[in-house]
Amino acid sequence: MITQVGWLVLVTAGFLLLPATARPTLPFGIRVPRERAGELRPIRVAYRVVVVVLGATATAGALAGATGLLPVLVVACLLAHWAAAGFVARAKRSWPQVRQGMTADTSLRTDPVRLPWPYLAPAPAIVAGTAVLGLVSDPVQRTESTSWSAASPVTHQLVVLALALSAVVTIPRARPELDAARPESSARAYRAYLAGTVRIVALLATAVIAALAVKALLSWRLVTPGSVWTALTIALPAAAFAVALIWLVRAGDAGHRLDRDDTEDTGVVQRDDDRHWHLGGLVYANRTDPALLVHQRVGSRWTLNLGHPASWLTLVAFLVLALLAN
Amino acid sequence: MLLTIDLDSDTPIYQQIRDRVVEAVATGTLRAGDPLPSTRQLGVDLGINFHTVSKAYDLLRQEGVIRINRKSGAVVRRDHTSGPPDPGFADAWQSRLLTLLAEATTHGLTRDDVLGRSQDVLDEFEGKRP
Repeated sequence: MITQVGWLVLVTAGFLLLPATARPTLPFGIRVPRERAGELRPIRVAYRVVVVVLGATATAGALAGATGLLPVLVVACLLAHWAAAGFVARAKRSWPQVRQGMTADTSLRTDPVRLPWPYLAPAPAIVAGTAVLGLVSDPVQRTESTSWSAASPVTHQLVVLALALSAVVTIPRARPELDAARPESSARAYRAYLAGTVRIVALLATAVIAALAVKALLSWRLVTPGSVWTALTIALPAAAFAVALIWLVRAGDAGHRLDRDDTEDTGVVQRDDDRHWHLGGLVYANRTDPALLVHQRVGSRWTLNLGHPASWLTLVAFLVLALLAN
Repeated sequence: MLLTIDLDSDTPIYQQIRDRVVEAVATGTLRAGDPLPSTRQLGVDLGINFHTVSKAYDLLRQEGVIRINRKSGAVVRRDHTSGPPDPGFADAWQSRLLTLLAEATTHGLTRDDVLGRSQDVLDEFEGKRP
């Protein structure tokens, strides 16, 4: 029961914080002009009240002995978010049209954000070290296991390394999330966000790979099992995740908090592509957009443009890889 | 270089891209030898068809502002430090200026107004140069 209550409180807190991390121009995943963002305060307040009521009701239910409330709370909070997005869209329809534009920072292509080698280099070194240790110590004989299961920490490390490398190579190639109303400040912020995010990805991968190395030492019986080693397998990724969380909160969605120059205004607003975003700014499908990878409207994540044929090929490739891995 | 296009403008997008690149070269944001993104990459970044970017680059190449190599892609060919203009440029430019000056005269701008405003624009270009 205590675990369920803990999760319910966490989910409620997460949904309460969600509007605070969103960009001022994208409340609840709907694009609005920056100067209009303040007019949407009543919708934000109403959303928070609803989430608090939902969270309190679910927690009270859990304390009374009800089970399975977590998915119900998540769905209810998502519906509250979706309803808030509907109210923002309705308010937006009453506003006069503003000139729309798009902005690009060519320096992100001609002088791109470099790969974070100092952050990336330890990861392959740890993988190589673990693999060499595995070859030298002969864990198959030592633990009387199959060679495949004995090698599983290293294969997991390789998978994490491959995912991290593909992320740090791919993320800077996605379309930058700039604001045509504030090209200079948004470009500065996005570059800083990109550089920080690829470092965080590298740090996370290194921490997880290091934790897998400790796990390998334990499973190959090279160290005496103990609480210190077990704690290390949890503490390493947990510390990296904490750093990532601090970074994401500080930077805000797409790094909008990294540059607070509010003086810039070109007189045009970023192109309104609301109709191509679905599920509250989580899914993007636009056949006329040549971009394959775009930044999500809600959260600090990137997503595939499902209107691009290559995105389906990518998804099929991932599916095949996942099936093969199983 | 920051390239902002107005999607509601009467000016075609390829023309806006061409204009922004020429302005960036004039203000020193782009210099001779600086690379430009590939047509596909700029198309992705602006959310437009890459043929539109190709059209802008072709126009810039014909005007001698950029050169396009298969290996190095599009590169700025010249800027204000590259010496006198190419032969025939001044005459072609003057014929386009004719229309601009005719508009100014028709709408009552005096000679001093026209010269003063031209001076302001040139000063702005020089003021932005690093």
